[in-house]
Amino acid sequence: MKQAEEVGFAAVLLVIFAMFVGLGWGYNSTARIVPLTVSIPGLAISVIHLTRMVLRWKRASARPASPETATELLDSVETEALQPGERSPLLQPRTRKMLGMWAWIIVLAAGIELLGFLVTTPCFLLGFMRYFAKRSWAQSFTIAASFTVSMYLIFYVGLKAQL
Amino acid sequence: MFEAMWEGLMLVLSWPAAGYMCVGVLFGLFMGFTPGVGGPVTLALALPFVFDLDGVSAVAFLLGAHSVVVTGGSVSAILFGVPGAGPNAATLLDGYPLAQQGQAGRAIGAALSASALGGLLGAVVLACLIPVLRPIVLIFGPPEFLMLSVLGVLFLATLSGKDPAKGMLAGLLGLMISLIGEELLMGTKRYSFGQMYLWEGIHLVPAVIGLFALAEMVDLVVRGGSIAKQDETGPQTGPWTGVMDVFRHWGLFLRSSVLGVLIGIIPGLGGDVACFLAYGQAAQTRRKGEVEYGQGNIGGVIAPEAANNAKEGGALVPTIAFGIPGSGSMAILLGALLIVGITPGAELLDDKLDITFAMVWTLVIANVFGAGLMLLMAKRLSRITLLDGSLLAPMVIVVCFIGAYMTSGSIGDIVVAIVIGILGYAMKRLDYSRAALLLGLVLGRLVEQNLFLSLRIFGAGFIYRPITFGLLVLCTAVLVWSFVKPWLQRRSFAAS
Repeated sequence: MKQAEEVGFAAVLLVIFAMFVGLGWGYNSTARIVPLTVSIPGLAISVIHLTRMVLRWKRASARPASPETATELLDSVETEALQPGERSPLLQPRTRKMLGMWAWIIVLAAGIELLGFLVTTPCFLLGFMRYFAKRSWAQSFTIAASFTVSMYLIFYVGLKAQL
Repeated sequence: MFEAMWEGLMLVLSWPAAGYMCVGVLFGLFMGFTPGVGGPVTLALALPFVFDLDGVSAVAFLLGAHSVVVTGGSVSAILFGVPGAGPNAATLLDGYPLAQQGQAGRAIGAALSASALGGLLGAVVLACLIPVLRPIVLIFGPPEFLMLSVLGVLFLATLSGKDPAKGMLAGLLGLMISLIGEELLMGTKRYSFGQMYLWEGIHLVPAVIGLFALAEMVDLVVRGGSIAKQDETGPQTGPWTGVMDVFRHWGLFLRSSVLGVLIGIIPGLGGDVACFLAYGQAAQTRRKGEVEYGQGNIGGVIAPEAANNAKEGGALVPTIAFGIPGSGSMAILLGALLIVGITPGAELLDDKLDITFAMVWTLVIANVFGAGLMLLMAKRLSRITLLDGSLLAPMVIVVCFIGAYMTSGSIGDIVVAIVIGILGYAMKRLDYSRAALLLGLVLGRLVEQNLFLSLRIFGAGFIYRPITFGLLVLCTAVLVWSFVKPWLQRRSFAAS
C-alpha cells in the first residue's frame, strides 16, 4: 500500500516539475533563468526517484511479505471485522476518515467565502462536533458558542481584524 | 561608555517606561501566541499607542512587545504545530514531535530559555558592536547573501531524512513555489494561471499553516487520541529539564546565537532565514546516537529559538547606526523612532548613547521577563496536548484559517493553506522533508534577487569574491557529503 502511495506521489512530483519546466520555457530570458535552473534538476531527480520507487515496488511485490511488512500493513489499514453477508467497504476506515476530514475543511473554506467567519465558525464547530466527533448536542453547542464568542472578542473587538 | 550604559538602565527602570515595557511584553506574548500575526503586525498594532509617549517609554513599549513575539509563538508551534510567526516554523519541526512524545513541557522550557539567553547574547553583542559597526555591515553583499541562501537550502535538503533524493525534491519544490508570481526585474507573471492573487506570490504564513498545522490536525483526527501520545509521566519531561537542556547543549546554543546575531546585522535576511540556517547547522552537527532532526531532537528547538532572539540585537545594529532597517519589523520600529523624535545615525551613537543603551537593556529585561512568565505557565499549557484530538482540531483549524486570512484578507490565502496542506499531509505520510520545502519557499526569492544583483554589480566573476568562494566550496562539500554519507554507512554496516 505504502509502496503504491510512494509511486503515486513520485509521479505527481514528476508531473509538477514537468509543468514548471514546460511553462518556464515560455517566459522571456530574464524571467526563466532561475525557474529553469531549479526545475530542470528537479525534473531529472524526480524521473530517477520515480524509477527507483517503481523498481522497489516491483521487488517488494515479487517477494513474500516479511513479518515487519505485515505488521506495518495491519497497523496502517486498521481493518474492521465484516459481519456475515456484509460486503468489504470500498475505502478503509482510515482513508474514509482522512477524506472526510479534508471535506470538512473545504466546507469550512467555502462557508467563510460565502457567509464570513462569524456565521461559518459556529455552524462548522456545531456540525463537526455533532456529526464527525460524535459529541452530544449540548456539548457541541457549548463548545461552538464559547469558542465563537472568544474569537469574536479577540479578533473583532481586540485586534479590530477585518475578517 | 559605562556611564551611558548605567544611564540607559536607569531610563528603562524609571516610571512610566518600566510599566510600558511590561505591558508591551504581555501584548507581544499574546500576539506571538496568536497564529499568523507575527512581529510586523504586532508593531503595526502597537504603533498608534506611542504617538503621545516620550521617547524612552515608546522604545520600551515597542521593543518590549517585539522582542518576545517569537517567544510566544514558539509555544503555539510546540503545542499545536501552528507557528505563531514565520520564524517559529523552524521550532515546530522538532518541538511538535516532542509534544507528541509527551515532552511538551521540556520543549517549551528549552525554547523559552534558549530565547531568553539568545536575546541576552544578542543584546550583549549589540552593546559591544556599537563602537565598530560600519565595516561589519559592509562585508556582506549580494553574492554572499546568494551563497548563504543556497547553503541553507542545501543543508536541509541533503541532511534531513534518510533519502537525500526526497530532501532535494522537497527543497527544489519549495524554491519553485517561491518563484510563483511577478518576477522582480521585468514584472513577468510566472505560474500565476491568470489568477491576480498569485501575482504577489505565495505568502509564507498560509503556506506554513497548510504545510504543518493543517496537515498535523488532519493526521491527529485520522490517528485518533490526543497530540501527546503519552502523558508526561517521566522525570525528564518538565520545563526545567528543557532549561537544563540548553546548558547541556551550550555549544549548539552559542553557535546558533552568533549565527542569529550575524544574520540580524545583515539587512534583508530576516528571522526566518536566521532560524532555518541555525536549524540546518544543528542538523549538520548532530552527534552519533542522537535522535534524528525532525523526530523530536531538543537541539531542533534550541537552535532556531536562540538564533531568532539573538537576531533582534543584531537587527538593531544597522537600524540604529545607519537608519537601514534589516526587516519589516525594524522598518516599523524605525518609523516609530522618528515619530517620537529619535533620529538614527551618529546622534544615537554619540549624544544620545544612553537611549541606545536603553534599547539594549529593554531587549535584555523583556526577554528575561517574557520567558520567565511563559515558563511559569509552561506546565499548565503543556496539558493542552492531552486534550482529545477531535475536540482540539476543529478549533485549531478555525484559528489557522483566521491566521491565514489575516495575511492579505483574501480567500486565496485559505485556498493556498488547503492546497499546501494536502501536499504537506502526503509529504508527512511518505517521509519527505517539509522543512526543506519550507526553507526553499523562504529563500527562493532571495536567491533570485541576489543572483541578479550579483550579476549586475560584479558580472559572472562574483563567485571569486573570497567569502562567496568559501561558501561555494562549503556548498559543494555538503552536496558531496550527502552522497558519500549513505555509501559510508552501507560500508560500515556491511563490515559489521
